[in-house]
Amino acid sequence: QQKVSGKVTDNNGVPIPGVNIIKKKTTQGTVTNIDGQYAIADVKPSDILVFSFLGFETIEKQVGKQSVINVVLESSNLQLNEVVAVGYGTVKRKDLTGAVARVEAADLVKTPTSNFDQALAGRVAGVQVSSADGTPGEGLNIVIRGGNSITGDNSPLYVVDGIPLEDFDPASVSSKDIKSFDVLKDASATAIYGSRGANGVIVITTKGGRTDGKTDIRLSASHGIQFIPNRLEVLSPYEYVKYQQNIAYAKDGYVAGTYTKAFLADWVDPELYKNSKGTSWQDEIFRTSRIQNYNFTLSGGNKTSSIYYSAEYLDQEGTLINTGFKKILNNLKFTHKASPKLDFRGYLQYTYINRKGINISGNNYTSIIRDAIQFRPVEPINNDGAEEGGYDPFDDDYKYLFNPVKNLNNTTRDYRYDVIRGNLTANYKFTKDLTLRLSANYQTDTRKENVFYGADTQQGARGNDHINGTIAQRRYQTLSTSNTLNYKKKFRKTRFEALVGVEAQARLYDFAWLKSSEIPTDAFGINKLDIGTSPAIPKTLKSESTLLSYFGRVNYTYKDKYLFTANFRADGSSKFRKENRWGYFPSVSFAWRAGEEDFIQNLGIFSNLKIRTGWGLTGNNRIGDFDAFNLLGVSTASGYVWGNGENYMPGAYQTNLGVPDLRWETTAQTNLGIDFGFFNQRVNGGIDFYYKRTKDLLLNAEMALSTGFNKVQQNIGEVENRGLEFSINTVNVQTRDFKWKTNINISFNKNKTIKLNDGQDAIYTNPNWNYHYNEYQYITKVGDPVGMIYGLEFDGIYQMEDFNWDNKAQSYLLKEGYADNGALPVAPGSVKFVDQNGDGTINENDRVVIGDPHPDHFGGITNDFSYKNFDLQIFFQWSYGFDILNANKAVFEVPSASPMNGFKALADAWIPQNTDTNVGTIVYNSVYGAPPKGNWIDNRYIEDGSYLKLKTISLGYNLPKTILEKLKLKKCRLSLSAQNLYTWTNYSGYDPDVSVGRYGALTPSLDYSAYPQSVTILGGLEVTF
Amino acid sequence: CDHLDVTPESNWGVDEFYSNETEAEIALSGIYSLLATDNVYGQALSIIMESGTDEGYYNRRYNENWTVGLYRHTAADNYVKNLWTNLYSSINMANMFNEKLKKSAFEEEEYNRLLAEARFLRGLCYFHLVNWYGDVPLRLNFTKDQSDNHLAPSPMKQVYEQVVEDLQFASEHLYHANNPKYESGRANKMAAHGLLARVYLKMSGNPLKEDHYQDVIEECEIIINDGWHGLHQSAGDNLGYRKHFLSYIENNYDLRESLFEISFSYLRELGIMVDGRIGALNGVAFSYGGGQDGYPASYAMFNTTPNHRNAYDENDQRKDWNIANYQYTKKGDIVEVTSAMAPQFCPGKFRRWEPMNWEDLTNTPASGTTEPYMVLEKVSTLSKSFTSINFPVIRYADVLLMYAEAANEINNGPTAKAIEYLNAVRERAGLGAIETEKPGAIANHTNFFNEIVDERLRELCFEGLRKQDLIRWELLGTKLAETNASIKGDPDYISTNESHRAYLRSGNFFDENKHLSLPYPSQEVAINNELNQKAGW
Repeated sequence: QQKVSGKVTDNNGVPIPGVNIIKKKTTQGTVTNIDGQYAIADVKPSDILVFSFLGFETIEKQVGKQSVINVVLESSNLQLNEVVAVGYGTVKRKDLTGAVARVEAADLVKTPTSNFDQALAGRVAGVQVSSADGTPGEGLNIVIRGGNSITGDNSPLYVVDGIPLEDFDPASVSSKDIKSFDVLKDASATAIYGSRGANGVIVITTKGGRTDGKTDIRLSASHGIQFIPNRLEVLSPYEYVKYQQNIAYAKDGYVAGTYTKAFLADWVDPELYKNSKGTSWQDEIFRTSRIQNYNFTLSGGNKTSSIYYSAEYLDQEGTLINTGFKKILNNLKFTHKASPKLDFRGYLQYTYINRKGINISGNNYTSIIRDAIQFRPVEPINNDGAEEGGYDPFDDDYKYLFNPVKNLNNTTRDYRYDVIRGNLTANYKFTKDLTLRLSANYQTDTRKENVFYGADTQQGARGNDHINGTIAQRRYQTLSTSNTLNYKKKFRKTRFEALVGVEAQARLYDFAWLKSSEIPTDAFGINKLDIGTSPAIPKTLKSESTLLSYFGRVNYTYKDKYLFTANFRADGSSKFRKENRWGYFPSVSFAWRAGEEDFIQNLGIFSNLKIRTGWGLTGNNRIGDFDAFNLLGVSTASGYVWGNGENYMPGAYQTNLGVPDLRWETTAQTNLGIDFGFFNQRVNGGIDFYYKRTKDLLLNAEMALSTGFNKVQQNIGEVENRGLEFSINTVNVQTRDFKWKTNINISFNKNKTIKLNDGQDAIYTNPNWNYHYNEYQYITKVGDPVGMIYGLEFDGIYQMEDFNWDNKAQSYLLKEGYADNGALPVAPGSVKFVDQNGDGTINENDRVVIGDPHPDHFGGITNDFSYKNFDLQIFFQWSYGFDILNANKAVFEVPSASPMNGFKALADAWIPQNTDTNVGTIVYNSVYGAPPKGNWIDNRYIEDGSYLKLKTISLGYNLPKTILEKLKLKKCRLSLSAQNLYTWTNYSGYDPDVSVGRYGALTPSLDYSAYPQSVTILGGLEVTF
Repeated sequence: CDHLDVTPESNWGVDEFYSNETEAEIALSGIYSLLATDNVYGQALSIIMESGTDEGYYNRRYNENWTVGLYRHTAADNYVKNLWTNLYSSINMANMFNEKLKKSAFEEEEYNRLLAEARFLRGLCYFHLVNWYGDVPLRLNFTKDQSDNHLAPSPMKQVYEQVVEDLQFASEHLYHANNPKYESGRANKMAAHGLLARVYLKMSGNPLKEDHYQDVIEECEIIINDGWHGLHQSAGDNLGYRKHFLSYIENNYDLRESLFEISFSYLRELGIMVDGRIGALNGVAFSYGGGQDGYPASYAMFNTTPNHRNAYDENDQRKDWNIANYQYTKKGDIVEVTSAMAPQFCPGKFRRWEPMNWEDLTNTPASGTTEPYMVLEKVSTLSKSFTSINFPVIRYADVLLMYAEAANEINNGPTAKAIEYLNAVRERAGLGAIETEKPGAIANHTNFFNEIVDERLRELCFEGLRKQDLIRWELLGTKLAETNASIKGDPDYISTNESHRAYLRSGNFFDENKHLSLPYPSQEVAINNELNQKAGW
């Protein structure tokens, strides 16, 4: 037995306090003091001491006969040596020349979400992740460094285990199978993906089997609840009855008359409803729902063969009744080394996904949420003959209303996906330096959407087709091969790497649709459409596209300080005509690891300092398969009838005008970045500036209508995005038992429309969320960002003093110089707008930009704490300085002579005794206060959407080793986590993370009848044998 | 590389199509179809844009949905845009048909007949375009690429001449309606002549004011002298007018009187959309049924005018047919409509239903029962919004009246033939000869002209002709003023009633300097560098 002491320093001779020193294979040990000194007793010469400290390489020393062991720990720069995915390969982070960000796989698992994309918001700088709404299992909108396209798709390309996947559904990969998740942001990183790289690339690498002869069996289960935390505030029963009394009184001309009498006959006296609880229709359709998730993983293998199998079952009930999300994942991966030179790897995946439930948003006639808001909260004492909820189903204006509970319960919609993926890859090492990789891939994604409207639904009861069912089947099939040859050589001071590759892909799409209506009974649901008495003509469609690509990359590193990368890709696509078929996408980038220079090291400040810059071109080919060709087609609306008996003859029409010069959309991007680290990387981070300019935009551009075409896909216009990204990671506290790490990222992006169609200065868009609101609500104007909110400027309410009384006509006449609101006539209490062009009336020429839906900045803050076996993550996410078009308000805050309920503001409607209000009158002097159709969207419905969300709290406890050993377990973890727990915002809707506009970048941040976001609380248990 | 050559399999390529008879038929059906959409004859040209004359007006006081009929449209208006776009889409398809139809696949006669049908439709489209918009880009080749965006409007004269050329070609090569190979509902020889007469008459009036009255006479004479077409007469009663219109409602082509009509059918239960709105938007009020299908519903949002009613003699059989004096209430009661201020004071010409017993107009059904009605439309399922009722484009009665009008102009007073043809129209309606009943009307040019103006209202109302007639006569403003005066003078008019006041909107908003043609659609102005918006828009 002897005693050993010594001092631990870093390679600059600075003592390191807090270093763990333990005797290997025991729990005995000590820690260095403030001077880096330690002493440890009771050691034998055969003992091995293990010195470890975060951020440094762990060192082992055999005790032998020494009594003093001084140790110099080398900075490990774990984070710098981390391997990061780039296209068709990996590099160490320190060797990166482009902008690549990583989402920690552990964070994805900690977050209680059903699909990994729901865990991404706020995790990475430059990546804006937003929800359309809270529909269970629905994919999110991911936009990397601002949208390039105006009418096209801005979502990134997904590359999973090296394979670029078209039509990728994030639900089809389990968060628990993800090993690494990298986001390639700048052109120098994405140009290797050429024509599909412009929107950024998300590279996912999944876990594989063990290679050490051991086997892990992991079981995990989690259960939880979800609920919608808030309600839109509607009139209470008492307020509602008072409001109805006001309506009657207003209709009577403010002297109690027939309407008031009729009101009293039904309702007797509003005061009787003072304590009435009534019905909250929102409570009727919302529920606290269950979510459960089970996962099984088997991982094993040895040096020659390995296997990984995982299965996942997720069942998430929706927080709206009769909606939900379910998935079953199967994932089998294997590797096999046939010889030292040749190895194989492959996977086979089958995923079943079911998104269940009627579409809550997006129907411009019916809406569950609208019905829940507008149904009256209380029924009158004396039956007034109206349906429950207060509407007259025989009145055409209320045709699209229906009891939302019944509508939800009796509409069956199953959107089922069967995704099958297979891959086989062979790697052959010709020499130590030269490797050939061949791979073949297959993906089939069959999506079957069944919709059935039972008798007790709006369609079933009052629609044109009554009880009816529709089956739509979409099948996407992709065959591809990806082959690369890689050469790597290390010389004394330089490293050289070259890659060449060829890729080919064929993608097939087919579609079939059938429908049967006037079904006498809903007893069989979708399963017996043949009893329908009115079948529709079935529809089918087939489409196909192919891609052929050649690419290459060269990396050159000199002295580990100067790094140079060049990429080149040529893509040929069947989507374009022969002359424009090939696109070429080069990029170059350079990095200087300044931190390795002596003069920087001598400063003793930086543990890492790297400057990166790069430029490149990337493309976008996301257009229809045959958009470049002139096509004729038939549809069920293009035929005519003639002859005795009027026989139907299908008719041809031009489905597409293919402009001959249609070609790639090209984005040029310049990136300038700096990575830095201090205190041995305890503080590290990066700043990136980028400038993107997209030209030859693939724009579904307006045509001169006299060509016979409204819009045609063309390469027109330019868009610019510039931005700044900042991220920083710190290890705030690091002791043996307690650790606290923080990660902050923030992004700024400025988007600008540079050019549109020749001679066109703006694109006006009607988001078409409700067929009544047929007016432009968004504008994309040259010089402004894409998709600004557009409407009239509210100018108060017309008051008595704005009018002269015309005794002869018994009406109010506006005084000279006052503009009307577009309706004739207007009267006191009518809504007034700013007459922008001063022509005395209000129409579409008076619309101006009334809201900016683009955030000034967005980001996230993650704090990770661990104390002994406990770990806690608290994650905040925000988006600041953007506007939302709250279209709910445009419907539910406008008083009218209707029996429908609405928001609280209705109680504040203008009457002669209440003139200081922003809510128009119901009716005054027989003039309704609401503006005329076409003038319904004004800036009263624009709200600041800024929010800070307590997005995730995750608390975990790992059973200590001592107990695990007794239980013969490798790991056992208990966790409790919550998602979307609280949102700080001034926004009055359900949730500011909403964007249900149907035209993508043209109609952002629109809220109407959105599926509300839910809070999730989940408890989990994970056991590894 | 072959890998990159992919052929569409659910569409035809433009170069591969038009190669045989079936494809030619499918192509022609496609052109007709564009004319039968809501944006053209389905509702816009036939009802909505036709409102705002002495025939009728939009009656919903709380909105201005029928912008063009209320003269509240702007250049960004959807009716302005969609009519233009649809007409040009048809023209583009007709141009493509002209250029691409494979000559070698057909006998020459057949080839010309097919071309003639496309040119008939193109001529009709350009006629509407030049009537409604004035100078318009004249496109005679199909659109190839975005450089075709830029084309200056041609002077009206040139457009009318093109219409004449197309219709002349059509009149030479189309089948006569009596040809056994002729399929009812399609363009035919005499329809082309009839439209030619209409074009010449329009060219003779505002705004072109070229004297083509002799051409009108010649075209009309070709039809009249041919002798196959004629008025639908009903022996023994005066129901010829009614029976003729029942043929549009019941989808029986009455080819003798109907030279050309737009065919609609209700096949929506199969998912096929070949229906229109005739009789639903401009039909007899029917409010029963709770918005359900299965009833001959009509929205009653189009009212006819007091001065239209006053234009008829008491025994004119057309009065009660054209102006419905009955309605079906929400409660299932058939009641009489007497007041011209009632929102149910609707056109009856394209009625979907009639009372089973006319006495029910004054009876009230027992509680819980509804009064029986008869559905006239011949469909298996009645839709609330869409109908199968065909819409007349040109009738023999119009040919007679065009002749009479042109002859009066040439002769500076009615000729014997002019009087004879006017009388033919009158007599079918149960009226006596004009020279005995209204001798003053034939006394001079002006009186006879005024009689024609009124007769065309009585005979051809709700057939999508009135506004263009009034424009070519330069009478639109006058007639709107007369209409407003007749509304205000109606015994039931209440000046403080917002709904009644709303009936005055068309007359109030009409501006002679702006509203005799439509503005160019804003999108056209924005994109087409060769075309500038009209002054005042």
